[in-house]
Amino acid sequence: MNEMADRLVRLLGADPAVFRPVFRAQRTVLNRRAALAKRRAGWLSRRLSPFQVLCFLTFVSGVTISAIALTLAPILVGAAVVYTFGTFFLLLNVILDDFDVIVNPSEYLVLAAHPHDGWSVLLAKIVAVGSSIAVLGAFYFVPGAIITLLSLHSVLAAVAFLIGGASVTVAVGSGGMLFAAAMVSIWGRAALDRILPMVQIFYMISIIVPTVGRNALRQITLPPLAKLGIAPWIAPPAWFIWPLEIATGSVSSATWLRAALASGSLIALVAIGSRWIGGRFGERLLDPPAYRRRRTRSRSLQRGSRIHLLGRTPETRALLALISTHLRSDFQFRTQFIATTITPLIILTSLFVSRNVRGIGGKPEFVLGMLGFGLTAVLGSFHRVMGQSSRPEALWFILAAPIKRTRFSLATIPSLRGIVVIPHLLFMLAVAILTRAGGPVQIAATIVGMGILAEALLRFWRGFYQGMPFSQPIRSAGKMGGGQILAMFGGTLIGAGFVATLMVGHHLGLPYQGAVILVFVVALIFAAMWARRRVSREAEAMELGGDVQAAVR
Amino acid sequence: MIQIQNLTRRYGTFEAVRGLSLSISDGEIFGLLGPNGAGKSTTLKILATLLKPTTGSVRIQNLDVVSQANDVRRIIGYVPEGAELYDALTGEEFLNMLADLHRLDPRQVRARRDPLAQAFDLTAELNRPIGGYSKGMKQKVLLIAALQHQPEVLLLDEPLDGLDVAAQEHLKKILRDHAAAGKIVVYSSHILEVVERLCDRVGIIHQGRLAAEGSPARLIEENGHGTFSELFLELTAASTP
Repeated sequence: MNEMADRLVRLLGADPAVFRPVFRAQRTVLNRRAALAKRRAGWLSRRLSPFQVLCFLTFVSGVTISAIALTLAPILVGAAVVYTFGTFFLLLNVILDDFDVIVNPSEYLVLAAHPHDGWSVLLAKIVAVGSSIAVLGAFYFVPGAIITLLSLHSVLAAVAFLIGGASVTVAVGSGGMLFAAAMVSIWGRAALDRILPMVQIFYMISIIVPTVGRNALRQITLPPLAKLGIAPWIAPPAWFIWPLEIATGSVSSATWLRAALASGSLIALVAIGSRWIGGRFGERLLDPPAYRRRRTRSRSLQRGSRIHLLGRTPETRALLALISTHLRSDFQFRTQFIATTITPLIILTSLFVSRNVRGIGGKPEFVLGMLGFGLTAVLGSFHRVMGQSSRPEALWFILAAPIKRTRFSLATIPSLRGIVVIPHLLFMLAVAILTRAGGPVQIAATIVGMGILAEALLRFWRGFYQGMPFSQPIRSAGKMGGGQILAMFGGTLIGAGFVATLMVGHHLGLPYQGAVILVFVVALIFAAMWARRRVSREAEAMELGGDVQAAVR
Repeated sequence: MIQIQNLTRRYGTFEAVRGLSLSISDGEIFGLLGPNGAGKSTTLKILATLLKPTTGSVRIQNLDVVSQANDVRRIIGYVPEGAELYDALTGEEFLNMLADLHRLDPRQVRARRDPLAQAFDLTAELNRPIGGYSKGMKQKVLLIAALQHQPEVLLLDEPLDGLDVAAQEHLKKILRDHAAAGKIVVYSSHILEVVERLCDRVGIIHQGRLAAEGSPARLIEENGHGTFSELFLELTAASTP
């Protein structure tokens, strides 16, 4: 068996003496990484590894996209859509999840001085991570094959759909790794550091859109393949529908051209691209920090001046700097932050689109109500996210600085006001004007009311998550207690009650609206006092002589 | 023998090493000294085949580091500064992987590794995942990785970093024995006292150029200084912008 594997490795142009030890090590690293994550995680994650969770999300995406595209669009166009979404999803997954295995600068520092050749090392890694991509590909494309089988009553068509999906998976697997490795080879490691956050945002969107935005996707109608013009040619994943064309008897000269393009790109990616990259990208990983620093200096200066503009006190500036640092360097924090921002946006957009945009003009309260709900949920999530960090030890630098800890902890209020509430209120104002939600005075009163409500909510959530920002490790924060779940519902109910009251005021006229605002002011005063007391108690525990270990837990 | 001729290395427009020429004989412990950013680590990475020179040539035991990189890798042992190891692997699994790359027989590896692990007091820890190691323990693994294939040339970048006193003393003995057996040690460090006592010759690099070269005693005498650190400060302050 080993001899056969060695022969295959030699056939691919690699050296088995290099391939074998590197592959063994990489496979062990990947297996143990999953096992470690499983042991460290909370109740749900202890039963499901991060990879199993990803498989589940992939399956949900596959089912949703396939159910919409293959049933609402002509079958060939539907397959092209499923392949395109699949390419996007798998590609981003390869770059984000597996790229640290393919390109690891520290590892290069250790491995490169021992006898090796770049291609054998890269091939070993591609094979090690390729299996996980194959599993994800199966989770994504099998639902589509089942739907094809059910809608066309043809086993041949389902198998053809799967062949196309498998080819897409192989092309994406090698293409994704090569794309990322080529990027490092050409522009150096700094390019990767800059582009990964953007890739992550696209990745989150590719997971969230099909799951929470399916209402909007259902509104899209697509014409048959022949009427799509140049589109199927400029989207490479669409080339892979050729087996399905043959299976459904829709063969034309275009089918053979697509087959040639798909096969050619596969060969180019796997054979030529891999060999080229294998011998080239290593050295660029050792670019010294000074070289990158010179190019990014102006960026840090701009960032510093923006923080200065947003934060008036040293405590707020320290918190904003901490958020900014975590966003750039903490993968898990960034994931939660992006999900918290994007999910409500997509849900709202999906709801608006599915309810027909033109109808909203007649029902401004629906829009404002939805925005109110969104704000309530977003503020709660942001407070939860800002309490956690992948490395809470970083907080020690803040605790050692000459700043007031209570004020630092409460600085989440002005920070979130600047980042979330003010943009949200401006958006509400724009919506209210565009949907003609009343006269200027009424709109102003609505926005003032919502602003005071938002302030009360800010303090409610701050008081509920009373711990120091960034003081809890993310892995322990994954466990959600009964009290926390109750508060999530409670917070949402409070938000809903406030929004409903506001709507009543909106319909009954200005005097009622004024009364509602007064209620909000009273709520704000009580929420502020309550939050300050709880946050101060927690922060005081961290002063000298207090239980510091308990606070940074 | 190591021969470095007119070596230059650029990162974009930044010149880390500028026209460096040196030769190091067999049986020598050669110290590379210099302030932060002087070009010591870049020079070592070129010797270790991690980086290619922009211009100039480097030959180790008459092998060219660019065109005969894999042959060079078989005869060198390199300890990088600040390297992260695979946290999920045990120390033994990591060392086995590197031994396999050198195509060493497992029994031969064990016979060489066991005394090193014992001397560094790491035997009991080698079966634990590296993720649980202290900084010093990781450094010991890197040292064993560089020594287990018995290289002709040792390239060490801040090798004492994180090591306890016993391990430091043991490493110094290994290096002296290595040189006594006619092999080469290139030792890069900021710690002047250790370099002064351990190395036969030193090269002081400043802003990518060789500012001085010779035995520590001769350099002090020739330049009329009382101590090696005074000499170092004068040489590295002279052309600082």
